[in-house]
Formats: sequence, C-alpha cells, structure tokens
Amino acid sequence: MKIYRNKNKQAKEKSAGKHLDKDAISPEVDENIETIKQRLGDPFDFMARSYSYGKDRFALCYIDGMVSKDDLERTIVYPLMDWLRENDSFDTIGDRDFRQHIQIPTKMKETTSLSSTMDDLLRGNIVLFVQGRRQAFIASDQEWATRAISEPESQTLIRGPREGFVETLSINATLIRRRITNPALRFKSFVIGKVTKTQILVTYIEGYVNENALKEVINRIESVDTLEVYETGMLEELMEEKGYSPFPTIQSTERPDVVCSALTEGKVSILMEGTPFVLIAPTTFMSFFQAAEDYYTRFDLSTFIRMIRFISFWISLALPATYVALTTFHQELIPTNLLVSLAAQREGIPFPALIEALVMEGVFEILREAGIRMPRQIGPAVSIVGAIVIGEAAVAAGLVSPAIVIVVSLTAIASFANPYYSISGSARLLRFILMLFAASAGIFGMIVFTLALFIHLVSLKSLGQPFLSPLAPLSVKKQKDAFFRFPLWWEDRKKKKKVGG
Amino acid sequence: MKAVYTIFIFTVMVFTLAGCSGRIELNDLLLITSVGIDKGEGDRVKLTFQATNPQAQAGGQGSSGAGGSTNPDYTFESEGYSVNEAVNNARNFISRKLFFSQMSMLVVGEEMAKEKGVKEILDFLERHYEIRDNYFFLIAKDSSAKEILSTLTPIENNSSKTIEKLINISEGSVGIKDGITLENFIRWLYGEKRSPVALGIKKKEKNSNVSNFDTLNDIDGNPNSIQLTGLALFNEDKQVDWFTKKESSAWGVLTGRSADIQNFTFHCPDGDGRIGILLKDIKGKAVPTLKGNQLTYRIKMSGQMNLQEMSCRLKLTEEQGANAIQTAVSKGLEKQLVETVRKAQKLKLDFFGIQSQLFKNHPKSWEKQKDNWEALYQEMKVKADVQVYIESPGARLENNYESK
Repeated sequence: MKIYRNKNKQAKEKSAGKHLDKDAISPEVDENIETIKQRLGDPFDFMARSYSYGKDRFALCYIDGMVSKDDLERTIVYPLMDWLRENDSFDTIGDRDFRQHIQIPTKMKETTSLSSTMDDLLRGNIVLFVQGRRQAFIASDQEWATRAISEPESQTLIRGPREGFVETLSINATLIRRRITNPALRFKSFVIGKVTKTQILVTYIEGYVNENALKEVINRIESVDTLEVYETGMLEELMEEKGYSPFPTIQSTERPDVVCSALTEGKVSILMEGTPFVLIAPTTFMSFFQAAEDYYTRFDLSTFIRMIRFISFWISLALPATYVALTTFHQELIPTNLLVSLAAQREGIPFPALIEALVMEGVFEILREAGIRMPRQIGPAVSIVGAIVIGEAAVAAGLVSPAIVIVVSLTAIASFANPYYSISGSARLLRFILMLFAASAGIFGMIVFTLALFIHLVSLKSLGQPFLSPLAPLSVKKQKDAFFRFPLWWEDRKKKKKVGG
Repeated sequence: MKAVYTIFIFTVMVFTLAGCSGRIELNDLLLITSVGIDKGEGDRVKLTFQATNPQAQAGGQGSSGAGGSTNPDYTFESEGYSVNEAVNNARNFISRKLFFSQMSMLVVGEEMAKEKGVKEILDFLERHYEIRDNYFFLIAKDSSAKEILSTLTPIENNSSKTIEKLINISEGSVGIKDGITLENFIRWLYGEKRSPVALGIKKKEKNSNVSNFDTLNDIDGNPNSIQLTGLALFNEDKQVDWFTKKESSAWGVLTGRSADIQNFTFHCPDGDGRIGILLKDIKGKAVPTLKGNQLTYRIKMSGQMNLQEMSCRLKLTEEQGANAIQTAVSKGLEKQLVETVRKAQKLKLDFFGIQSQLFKNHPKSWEKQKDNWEALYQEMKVKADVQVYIESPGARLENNYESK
C-alpha cells in the first residue's frame, strides 16, 4: 500500500518536473545520468556506475581521476548493498532522510538542484542518484594527483617550518587548521570566475578579525566580475583599491605560518584552488619587511636583519640614482680620494653616467629575466656569459667604469634581500624613474621624486586601512614591530611590573 | 584623471625647470687639490694650481697605455692682476673645467704674504661658490708656493696630500690639533680682533729641484721632503714674523688647540742630560684679568706626562727624584709659555685672543681701557703655573747608569 502510494507520487512529480523545472533532479537514475552526460558534452572521463538490487537502483557519478576509486567501493557501494541485502528495498525509508537510515562512512550532502550537483561533480565530488528520489547525494571524496607539501621556494628561511602551501585548496585549509586549532577559525567559501568557477576560501578568526576589513573583502569578492582566475595574483589585481600604484596593497605568501600570524593579527586571508599563494589583507608597507623568521630568531638579531632589509630596499631603489646624481651634479659631496679614483675610472668612458647606469641596469634586468625563464639546462651557460659580460668584458673594453658595475651588482643583490618579491618589484620599477630624475636634476630631482613617492604612499590604503600604518598615522605602541622587533615578552613584563607581584 | 594630469605637469616642470643645467661629467673636471699664490711680475699675482691627473691614477687598471710613469699630479701656473683674472687666464690653457671644491689647502708664498698681504686673496676665496673655507692655510717659508706645490714628495707622491697628512696624522712637532684652516684665519682676523697665525711649510733642502717624476727613484727622501715649520705671524693681513716650533706648540697649549699628545724635551735640573716627555691632556686656562691699569695674564695648566727618555742623574724610584722631574718639566713648560707671550708682546700683537677674552669677561672695564690697549699689553704681567704629573715612567723605571 505504502509502496504503491509512493510510486504514484513519484510518477506525478516526475511528469510535473519535466515541464516545470529543467534544474530538478529526476527520480529516474538513468535520466539524470543522461542529462549530465549531455550537458557536459559526453566527456571521456565522466564515469557513471549503476547498481541494482531487485528493483532498487542507484548510480554513482564521478569524474575519473578526481576521486579515490578504492574508497568509492568501500565507503559507498558496499554499505548501500549491505543495507539493501538486509532491508530488501529503499522504499521502506519512505520520505524520511535517506542519509540517516543508511549509515555510510562518507558524509554526504543533499541537493535537489541538478546544476549545483554538476558543479560539485566537476569539483571532484561523487554524486549518488537513487532511483525514485528527487535528491542527489554528494559525497566529497576528492583525491587527485597533487604536489607534495614542500618548502616554499619563494620564501625560504633557516629556522622555521618548512611546509608551504600547495595547489590543493583542502590541503591548504588543513595547513592553517593545524596551526590554529581554535573553534573561532572560519572558512567562508566563494566561487569566482564565470567560466572557471574557481573556489576560494576567505579565512579569518571570529572575534579577532577586523570587521570592517572582513566586510570589505567580502564586498569586493562579491563584486568581482571576471571570466577567469587562475592565481591569487589575478584576484589581487581585481580587488585592489588604486589600480595605478607600483606598490602592492595586498600581501601574498606561500607560508602557512605567515598566514596564521596574519589571522591572529585580525587580518583576512584568501585561499584559492589551484595556487599555493595565499592573499593577506589588509596589509601595511612595513609588513613587507617582516619575514616569518624574524619571530623565530632572537629579537636583537632579527631587529638587525630587519634594518638590513630596509637599507637594502633603499639601496635597490636609489643607489644607481645616487651614483648618477653625485657624479654628474654634486662632485663636491664626494670625498677627495674617492672622487679621484672615480674620476680615474671614468677616464675614457664614452658614455655619460646616466647612459652607463641605464645600460648596465638594463643588462642586469635581461639577465634576471633570462635566469627565470630559461630552461634549467642552459642555466650555467647564461650565468657565465652574464657574469663575463657584466663584470669583465664591459670594463676591460672601456665601455663602462668598474664603479658602475659595483653599483649595479650591489643594487641587484640588495633587491633580493627582501622576503616579499612583490615589494622588491616596485623598487625595481621606480629605480629607473628615479635615475631619470637624478640625471636631470641631481639630488634635488631625487628629493622631488621621493617626496612625491611618500605622498603617494601616505595616500595608499589597503582595504580601507592606511598603508603606511604604524608610521603615518603614527602609533607609538605599534612601533614595537615596525622598524624594530621588540622582544616578545616586552608587553608582558610591563604588565607584570604594573601588577607589582 | 586630475591626479594623472597633476603628476604629468609636475614631472615636466622638474625636467624643464631644473633639467640638466648643472650637469657635468666626471671626465670633464679637473680636480684642483691645492692652490698656491705668489707674487708675480710687478703688480701681478701668480696662481699655481695643483691638479690630479686621473690618467695616472688609473694606472692600475691597465686599460690605457698611459699608466705607470706619468705624473700623478700636474701644476699649472697662471698670472693676472687679481686672483680672479689669474683663474680666468688659466681657462685659456686648461682643457677641463677647474673644479675647486675638493681643494685641501691654500699655500701663500712668504714674499706675497709679507709684501702684499692676503686680503684680496681671502675675498676671492670666500666669495667663490665652489670653494669651502675649511681647508688648511699655509705660508711657504723661504720659498714660493709654486715650489712647494710642485715638489714630488716621497711616499705620497703629492705635496698637498703630504701636507694634509703631516697636519692630520703625524701632527708635526708643532702639535696643533686639526691644523689651522682658512676659516679660523678669517675669524681671527675679522671676527675676534685677534692677530691671526697660519701654518708654515718649507722645503727640507732649500735648493733641491725635485719637480721631476724621476727624482722619486732616488732612495734619499730628504731632498724631496717638505716640512712643517713654526707658525707664521700676521699683523692684520700681512705676515710679519715666524714663531719657532717651541713657541708654536706653546701657542697651541695657550689657545687650547694643542694636540692630545705632544713631545717636549727639557734640560735636566742639574747639569747635563735631557728629559724627554710625552705630554698628555694638557688642560687649563689662560685668562687675562684687568685691575685698574694693570693687565695680568694668568696661565694655569695641568697635565700628565709619560717619560720618553731620561738621562739625568735622578732616582725615579724615590719620591724626590720623581718630584724633581715633575718640577723640572713644569718649570720648563712655564718658561716656554711665558717666553712665547713675551715674544708676542714684543711684536705688539695679540695672538692669544686676550682682547676678546677681556671683552667677554670684563666688558665694563674693557670699555674704559680699550683705547689704551697697546700700553696695557706692553705692561702686561704674565703669571704661569703649570703642574705636570708623571703618569707612567714608560716600560722601565731606572736609568742604566743609576742602578748601581
């Protein structure tokens, strides 16, 4: 009796669904499979396996290569079959929750929309259709070939964790979870890209997070209108405030420990499927100079090293320009002996100092780009040629002076002494503009340019937060982690003294 | 859009308003390391520039064939009725831009300093936009500035570098800290109503002619050497006399410009033999006091000494002997200071800034007695009180001949 009624109802619904809603899931297993196949264009890796027991039928759909096939049988098919063997038919469950009755080791979520089912399918989930039910059950058992967790190559350190993010979102989320085992840790899921439908996770710690920044991040993510994203760099550009700034206002890192420390500071981070780079926002100019290792080594050493980083940033920005300005405008500023030896080096050099500097910087940039792009096997050849061209031959041929070689190589080395590639990129670009200013107006020109640069920096905002934060607006309290890295116990000790224990 | 426009205008303004106007490449400059000024024919002045020869400095690089045996420096001579004219005339035969800002010293020939005075030179040098005031000011004793500048000295190969190091590093036996710069000279002359002094320099062997690079191959360094002498004394802007080296170091002690460590040698208190000491940290005051018509110059100094040599028959192991040495040295130093002041009194010139001290310390009585200065100065009493203590007798205590 019961069975009959059910059948009738299902039949009714089936006919209603057909002309009512294309998105609805049909009670007919085969029909669903057929629709999916059709919509996906009959892909070669779409797998649909049907099982029947008596008159009951169910089918599993998945994309080959994205799920673990061993687990599939064990965790879904066997339990279902066992249940059927004991209970004969699914019909006995009736309208009640299918999942509560059949104990399947894999957690499943239920949906009634065919399109969302297909989205899940394409993300590597397993879809279970049961004959006579208008729901699809989705088991998440993704498993695909992925890179092993390895040391992040863009941010290496001596002391500290060697784990870096990988291209798989779930693994990345786990890396964060393992470091912050706090119930307040939140992952909010979004999908971006009309074509790529890339999954991203907005991560923060409830209660610690800067609410305004979080709201801003979510707003911007929701308003991003794009067809494709493959890397957080693209998202970063789409989310940034001022498009025309040479400075990055969103930080990106490969290190889970950096992300976790940012989260506890109340920042928001964005993880994306398919890339090991995670965005952190809002960020400040200073935080581009704080490496993870600063907090793992002793405070005095890390303060010193941080100073070195600031100095080397300035060197990589301004050293060639300073050289040009001093040797062509302000010779009186150079100590006599140094000036004599510089003048001696420049004897017989056919180019003015600016051209010399531009050419050498240009050559270095070419070598640098070649070093990144070339196939690994050619590496030694390029570096030998580069070293000889820059260091030896150009000087020996009397084309450039040895001093400029020193200047350029010092600049190059200094530009690598930064934990974040993106900020050294801005110094790299601005260096050339600064050189032009220096060559046309000397130190005066450099001052003018630097002033303009500071005005720009002060006006920059990262998700509504001032970019130059602990400096402008000045916060004395936050100075303990700006230019200096104060000891971690600093504040505690003060508090203890106040208590007067 | 507005911002972009502003930035554009801003950039264009920087480039067009300031663009390249002061630009000059290093290889278009002739670095002048020192300037010498002598009396020329008739009414004219003769300028000598010592300029570095960058090609010779580049010798080590092996790129050009020039290196090796070329002179590291050249001197150029140019004459004119004024300093400015002489500099302008030099432009006719020097291919590069004369660059003065690295100038380390000005040498004035004794003849020029005595006969014409340095007033006109000072004006040009102070007014020139490239020239600083903090270079050494020297008078060439018994020779012309040109001779000094075109001497190829041993070790440094360059007279101005030699002089600079003589003053800064070895400090000479004159022992004046940081030398005397043109800035000092001008301040004394015009700012403090004080008779100025200048450093003196002369050739070690007067008649040697060593302006040829080949002379540097001679192992005998003496003919090429130049040496510091006592200070040149000026009345207004004209040179009148010289201090001896002893007097010069006394001048340094009195004016607080003496070097941290100075060597002195004194006679033993009894009989022959000498005491050589290293005087350290000599400090104290030399203050003029004015009571009625009586000017008194009170000198009170104290310092420590290290014994350098001692050939007296004194027992250092006993308190008596040590005291005897201390008194001998103190008295010797006192005498030296007093004699120096006496010499200045004889010349009727105030090299110690006594007038300005009086003006500062006793403004009221100074105002009354101001016109009477010469008589006051002539009658001035000098009272010296110097205490020098032995800090260390050196690495040994006794004399060789005393030990028995």
